Amino acid sequence: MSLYLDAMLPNRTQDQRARQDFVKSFRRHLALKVRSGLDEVYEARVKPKFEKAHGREPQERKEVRREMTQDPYYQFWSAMQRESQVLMYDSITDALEPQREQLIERAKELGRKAQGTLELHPELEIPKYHTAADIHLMPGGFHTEVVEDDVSAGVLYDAGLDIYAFGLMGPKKDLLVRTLINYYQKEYPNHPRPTKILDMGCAVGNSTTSWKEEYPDAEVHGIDVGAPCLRHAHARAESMGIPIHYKQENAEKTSYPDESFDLVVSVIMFHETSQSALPNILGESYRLLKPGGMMMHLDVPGCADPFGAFVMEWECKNTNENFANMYRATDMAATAIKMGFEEGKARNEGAAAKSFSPHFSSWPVVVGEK
Amino acid sequence: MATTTQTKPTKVDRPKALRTAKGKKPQYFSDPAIDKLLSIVISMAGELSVTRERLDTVQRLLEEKKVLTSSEIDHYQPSEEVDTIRAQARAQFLDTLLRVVEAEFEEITRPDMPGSREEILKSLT
Repeated sequence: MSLYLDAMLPNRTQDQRARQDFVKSFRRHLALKVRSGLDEVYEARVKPKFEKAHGREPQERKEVRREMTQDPYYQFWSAMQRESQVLMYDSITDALEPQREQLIERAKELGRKAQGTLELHPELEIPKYHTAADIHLMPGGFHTEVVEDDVSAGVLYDAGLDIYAFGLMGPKKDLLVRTLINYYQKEYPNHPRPTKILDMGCAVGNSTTSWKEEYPDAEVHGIDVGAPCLRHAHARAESMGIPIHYKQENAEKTSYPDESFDLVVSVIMFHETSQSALPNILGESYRLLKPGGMMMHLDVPGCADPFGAFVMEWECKNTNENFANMYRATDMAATAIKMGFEEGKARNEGAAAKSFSPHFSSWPVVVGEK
Repeated sequence: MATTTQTKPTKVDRPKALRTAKGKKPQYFSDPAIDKLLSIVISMAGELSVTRERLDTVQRLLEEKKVLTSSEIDHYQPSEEVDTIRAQARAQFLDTLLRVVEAEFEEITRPDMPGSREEILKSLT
């Protein structure tokens, strides 16, 4: 891994690195070895038991959930899976806490010679869907500042991405945005080369920088509600020599003028919002698009099969991705049309990708053309 | 004497990093104590993994600096004296590790152990 990518990540002592590596290996083990056993447990004893009692297969996610959460194999996997996520942020905090002030200084230093910009709005109200519970079990969420000019949340999220997916996100942690970019280029080869791009809910900008890498002539903007994430994002991008314009904004209602962008995009944002925010963001996407512009939001998949759906809802029930099930139940394209897109100009599509789970092979993308 | 104002230098506490996520923790097992125990066991496994890696680093550095080779470690034959010291250390380690079992044993066998809470309360009056 190139060093520059680590510019905003804390140095680690021997033991701090080992502790984080343990969590990474633990998560990999749980995902590749233990989790796959869930399918067998379901087929071998949970489903037959249900069939015997009801004379039919489980038809709904809820039915599967009721049975599976009583199964000792599932209970152990689930408890360990949650614990691995708690330990993940804890092991990062071990390294981060003693270096917090140094990292803040480093961010300021990188900001002084910046080519991109950072615009923070401390008066911005942090939406309830961020303050009610800490998404991903990341203590403090995306927005909390422990000290002035804090970057902690950004560090936690950035370092967490690598441990969370045990390295599968790649050194630039851009696996998902690469999936979206590939999809865009393959499916819309004739769409004019974008000159202005907005990345919504950008967090530490691990997707935002990839858009700029792909379209170096374009002006690329990233927005998020979390100031500590944006400070980190700005410093990270500058350390990579990639100028991005970061701004603290709520994607439901931004301060950009109408028809500002050729592309309005996001990666795994909607499932962490709310029932009222979701349509607002789609409406705002429409407002911000230039005529001929395109909206593409990639998010977490669902599953029609009740058992697959149960497995995929785990984060919703266990790690505070509370809105995920409601997001999955939403027809994104229909909502986009309700919020301004012309009939037939918004579609639910899928971006094929190598996935982490046997239960899906593509990431849902809602596409809207103006 | 003039009134003394409190000028004692107050140590400014560095704000602590947040360690607990806001939200509702699910209960996985019939007894919440099992949830806690599992968390502790996983943390212990983590610490063991950390210790093994540290030992590995020590071994590699010793080899790099030509102090000794890992084969020398693998083929180390403890003397009788070292054997005795190690046996004592292991016994102590097991005592500590299995303290909870020992406590239950003591509860049953020690003559001064009260038979019940009621018995304790009675002895207080």
